[in-house]
Amino acid sequence: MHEPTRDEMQDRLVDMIHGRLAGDALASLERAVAADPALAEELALLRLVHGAMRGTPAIDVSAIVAALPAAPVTPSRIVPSAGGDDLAIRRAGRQRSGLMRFARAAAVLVVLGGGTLVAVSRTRSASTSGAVVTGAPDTLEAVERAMQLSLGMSVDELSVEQLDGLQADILALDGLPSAEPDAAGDLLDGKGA
Amino acid sequence: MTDVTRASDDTEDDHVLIARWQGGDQRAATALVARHAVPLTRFVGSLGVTDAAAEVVQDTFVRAFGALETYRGDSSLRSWLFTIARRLVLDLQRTARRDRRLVAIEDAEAGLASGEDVLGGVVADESAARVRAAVARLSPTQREVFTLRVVEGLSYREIAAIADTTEGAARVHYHNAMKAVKEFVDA
Repeated sequence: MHEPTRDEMQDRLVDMIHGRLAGDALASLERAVAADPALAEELALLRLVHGAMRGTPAIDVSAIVAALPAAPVTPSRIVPSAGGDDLAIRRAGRQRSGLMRFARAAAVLVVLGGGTLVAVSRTRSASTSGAVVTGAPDTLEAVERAMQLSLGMSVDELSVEQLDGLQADILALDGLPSAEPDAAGDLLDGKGA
Repeated sequence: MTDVTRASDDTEDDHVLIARWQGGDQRAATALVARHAVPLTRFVGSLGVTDAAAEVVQDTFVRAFGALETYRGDSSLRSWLFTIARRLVLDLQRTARRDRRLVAIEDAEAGLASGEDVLGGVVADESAARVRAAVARLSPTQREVFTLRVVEGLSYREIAAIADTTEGAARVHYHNAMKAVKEFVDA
């Protein structure tokens, strides 16, 4: 075992007063301090300085927190549980991303089938019947707007639990429409639903 | 297992709290501020800032949280916060001396000796008062290094990064400061 030099012992005095030494390292230093008056004197001075300077100033934590910028929440950022690791965060991100894709796709089907016609007026439409068929980006926007109206928030703001609930709700729909390219073609041709 | 436990546990906790805040958990921000505000305030006080300490500390957190995207975790969050605070203090020293928000070193010594300082406490013990007076007499660099080492327990490597110097220079400043404090206290 490496025997610490006196300089190393001096350095470890700071570790000692901060409670960061244990086991053999602590015992070794205590023996050195007992045998070296100069080291003992330095330790006493360090303790004196530490005690005199380590006051606890009054801090208004809530005022500081109130001034902080809002957290930049993104879909890939999931709050890990205590002790969570990077793998858990990535796994949760993939789970959320998959659920979001599923929710979007299912909602598109609902819209195409006439199940949800919210935000129709804001969407470019090739139909005169009220049912909507649009390009994918516009459809997704319409779906998101519909979800905002129904849920009071955007898809990106939904938690995994909320997406789970949404998934269950969609699967429970009695009249979940199937994709019908021919019918969609009719809509595009203006023949109605 | 090592017998010398560093602040790695705190660092890991900081990373978890940062991830939670970035996920929208505001309580994580409160925990981070509560954990680091006190040592940060002590450090700002050691740099000679008194009346504006709370302002500097708050500004430090605001800037840090606004730039957490750029925090790579190469250093501890506490070291990063200290570095930001130090830069803010330097800016303050350059631009606001005439506002008399900073206490000059000689004033700081008088204030410390009378028990009035940024900590807001009263120095009851005579020997403690003498120690504080001794620290106040150190050069700004010596006082900064000495405080970071003894009071906050940072390594020379962390101190060098915060104080924009080298580990060797930090070590020399520390030993000179220790010698000066000892001579003053023993006199």
